[in-house]
Amino acid sequence: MAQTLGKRISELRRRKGFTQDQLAEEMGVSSQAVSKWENDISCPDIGLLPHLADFFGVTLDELMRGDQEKVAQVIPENERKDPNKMIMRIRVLSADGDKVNVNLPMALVKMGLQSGMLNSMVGGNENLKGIDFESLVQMVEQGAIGKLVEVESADGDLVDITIE
Amino acid sequence: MKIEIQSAEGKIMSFPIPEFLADNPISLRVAASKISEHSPLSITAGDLKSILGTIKDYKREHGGDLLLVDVESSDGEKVRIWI
Repeated sequence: MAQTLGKRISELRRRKGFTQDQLAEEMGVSSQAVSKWENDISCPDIGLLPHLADFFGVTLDELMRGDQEKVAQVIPENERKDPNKMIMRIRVLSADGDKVNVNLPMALVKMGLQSGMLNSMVGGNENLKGIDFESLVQMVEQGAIGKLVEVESADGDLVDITIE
Repeated sequence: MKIEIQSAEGKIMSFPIPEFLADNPISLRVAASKISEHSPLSITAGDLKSILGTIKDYKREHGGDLLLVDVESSDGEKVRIWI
């Protein structure tokens, strides 16, 4: 499951097929409040957490702490989501402490690959140069999700790519 | 679209950009020309229009803004871009 409370709320809401407006209505808050939760700008009121957990059908602990780190898995064909509606999360943590998170809708990744833009864009980052995004997209289309790439460079930079 | 820059001291500057400013033929042509001029990318206004269309579809599907980029430097400066 996602790494922050906001990301977990967003992921659970999408799994349940609700919009932010619908979740806001269920919880008796504004849709802006839900948007802020999901973008980790603010947190739900402590009194709302049990309601959120019940609504999503998870325990309070699962909501607050998430599952163990998401592992790569292949989803059976009849349970797969449309790959174009998935998201590629690229996280780069440099040895000197810089952090970069990029969240790209898969449809955008595919468009970037077809036009050649994606390779030009990521080519500027040493850590991403060797990553074969075309193969990653193919893997996603075959049902692979979760953390598909995890690289630690010799100088200590960490890169991971997760599909959700 | 919103760009938020937070300095290491915690000062936050936020730049909301209305969608119509980004998604119109003149802005797209200017943006494509500047991107092609200042980067190795060769991109047309049509490419940018397609990208915006894809992003709009995603937002419609997921009912909210997408945190596209979130950068934090080692000295504490942060830049976030929502679309």
